[in-house]
Amino acid sequence: MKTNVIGGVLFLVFGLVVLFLIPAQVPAPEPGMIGPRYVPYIMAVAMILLSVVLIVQGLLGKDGKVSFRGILPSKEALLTTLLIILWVVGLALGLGFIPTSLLFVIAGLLLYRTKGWLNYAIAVAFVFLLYLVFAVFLRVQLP
Amino acid sequence: MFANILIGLQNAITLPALIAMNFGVFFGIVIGALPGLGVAMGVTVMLPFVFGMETNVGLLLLLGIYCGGTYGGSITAILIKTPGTEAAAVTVIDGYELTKQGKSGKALDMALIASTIGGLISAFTLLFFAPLLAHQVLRFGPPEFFSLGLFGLTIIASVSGKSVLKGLLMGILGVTLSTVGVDMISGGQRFTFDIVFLYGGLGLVPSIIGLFSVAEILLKSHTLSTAKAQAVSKLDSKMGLTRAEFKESLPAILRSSVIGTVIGAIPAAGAVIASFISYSDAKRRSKHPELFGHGSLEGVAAPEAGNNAVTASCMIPMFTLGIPGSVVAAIILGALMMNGLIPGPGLFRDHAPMVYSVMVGMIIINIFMFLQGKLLLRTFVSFTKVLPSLLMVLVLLMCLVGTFAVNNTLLDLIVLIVFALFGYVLNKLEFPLPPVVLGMVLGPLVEKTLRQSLLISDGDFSIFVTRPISIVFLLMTVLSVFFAIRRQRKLSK
Repeated sequence: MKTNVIGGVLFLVFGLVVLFLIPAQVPAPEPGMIGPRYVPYIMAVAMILLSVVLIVQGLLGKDGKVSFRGILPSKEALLTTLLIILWVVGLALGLGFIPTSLLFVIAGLLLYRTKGWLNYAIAVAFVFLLYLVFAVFLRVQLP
Repeated sequence: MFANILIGLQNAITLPALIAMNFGVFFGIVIGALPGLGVAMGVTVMLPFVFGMETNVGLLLLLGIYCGGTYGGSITAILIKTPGTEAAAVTVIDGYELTKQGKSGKALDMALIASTIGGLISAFTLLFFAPLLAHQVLRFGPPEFFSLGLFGLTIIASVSGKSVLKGLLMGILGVTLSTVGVDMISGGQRFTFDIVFLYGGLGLVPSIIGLFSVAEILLKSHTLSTAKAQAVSKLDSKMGLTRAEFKESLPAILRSSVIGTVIGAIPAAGAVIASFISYSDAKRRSKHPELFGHGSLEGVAAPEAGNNAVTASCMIPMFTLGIPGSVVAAIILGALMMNGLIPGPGLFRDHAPMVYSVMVGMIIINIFMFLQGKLLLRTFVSFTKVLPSLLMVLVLLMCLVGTFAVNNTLLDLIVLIVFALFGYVLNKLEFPLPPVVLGMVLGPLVEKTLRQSLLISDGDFSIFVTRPISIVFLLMTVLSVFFAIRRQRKLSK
C-alpha cells in the first residue's frame, strides 16, 4: 500500500469528522459575525481537499510503499506504550511515585533485554534523583 | 538600546541564570554527542523544568541546550563517524578522516573554536539586529500579522520533509488542534465534548513531548534490545590546533559564520542547510580544495561555524515577528507563550529586561560552551558508553514526570500517549512532524488576527491586499509554496 494513499485516507477521515463535529461542538456565531466556526471550517475543508489530492497523487505517482503491518506499532513499541499506561495507572491508583517509577525502569530495562547490574543500579538511582529534583528543588507535588 | 543591554547583562549574570546556562550547555553537549537523541529531543525533555523558573532563566537553560547540542553533534561525528545531530553530518566527511590520521585532537579543537565563533557572531547579530526589526514591526496591525502568520506556517510546512502536500496537511492539522478549548474572542467552547480538562485546550508540553520525544523512543524501541553503546575507545586529544592552522581556517570560519547567521534568520532554513552551504563555500574558496574529503581542517571548521551560527539568529524572527526559524525555536516559542508572553514588538517594549538578558545570555552561553568543550571533553566522550536502552528508559521516565509536573495532572499524560502514537504512525507514513507544532503555536495568532482584520473591514477580504506589508507577506507565502513544489518536482525527477 502506498504511504500517500494511506496518509491521505487518514486525513480525509479526520477532515470529515471535524466537518461533521463543528455544528455540535462549536457554537454558531451571531448573524453577520466571523465566529468561532470560521477557522475550523476552513481547516476541515482545506484538509479534505489536500488529502484528496494526496490520494490521487499516491494512486497515480510513485511514492514509498508500506504494509499495514509496517504502520502498526511494533511489539516493542506496543509494550513500551503499555508500560507508560501502567505507570500512569500506578500513579492514579496511589502506588506512589518512587515504587511505580522503580517498577517502570526495571520493566523497561528487562523489556529491552538490558544486561549488567550497573545499568539497573543507575536506573534506580535516577528515579531517586528525579524525585529529588522535582519534589524537593522544583516543589512539584508528585503522587 | 545600550541601557537595555546593560540591564540584560545584569539579569544574565545572576547565579540562577549562570547555573541554568552552564547546565543547559552541559546537557546539550551530552545530548548532541549521543547519536539518536537530537537537539529537539533535548530541549523538549527539559521543557517542563522551565515552568518553575523565572522566564529568562528558563529560556537560557533551553538556549544553552540548543547551542551545546548543536556543537555536541560534532564530537561523535569526528571520533566515531556517527553524527550526533543531523547538522553535524557534513563534519563527518573531514572530521573522521582527521581521526583516522591520528589528528582527532586538532579536529575537535577546530570544531569547538569554529562553533564558538559562529555562535558569537550570531549572538551579536541577534542582540543588535532584533531590536531594530522589532521597532519596524510596531507598525504592523492585525492584517499584517495574519499574513505574516500564514507565511510562517506555509514556509515551514512546505520545506519540512519530502512532500509539500504532507507538510501543509500537518500544518493544517496543527491549526485545527489549536482550536480545541474555549474560544478567546467569543468565549464559546470548541471540541471540548464537555470535558473540563479540554477547556484550556490541548497542552503544548504533552503534545510536543509526545510528538518529538516519546514517538521517537517508540520508533527506536525495536532496535533497543540489540543496540550497543557506540563508545569511543581512544581519545587522542593531546595534539591540539596550532596558531598557523587556526589562522589558515579563520577566513572560512568567518564566512561560514555569516552564512549561518543569514540562513538562521530565514524561517525554516535551519542548521543542516547552513552546514552544507558553508562546507561547499569553504571548499570552493579554499587554497587547498584537494584536501576536502581527505582530512581538511577547513572542512571541519566551515560546517561547525555555519551550524552554530544558526542558533541565535533563528531567534530573530521568533522574538520580533513571532515566527520561529526552526523546530527548536518553535518549542522555545511555545515555552514563551506558556509563560504568558507574546513574541513580537510588544515583547521588546513590555519585557525588555527579560529579552535583553536572553540575548546577552546567548553570548555568555557560547563562552561557557567553549570553556566546557575545552575542559570537559573526556567527560562528554564518556557518556557515549551509556547503553541506548538505559538512556531511552531514563529519557522516557523524564518525559513522563516532566509532563505530569507542568499542571500536576495525569490527564496530560493521556494527551502525551495519544500524540506519541499519532507521531509514530505519521512518521512511518513519512509525514513531517514539526509543522503540527508550528500549527499549534501559530494557529491562535493566525485565527485571532484573521477575525480581528475581518471585524475591522466588516468582513471585506480586500483588507489583506490593500495594505503593502500584508501584500508582501501574502506574495511571499505563494512564492514559498510555489518554489517548494518546484524543488520537490526537480528532486522526484
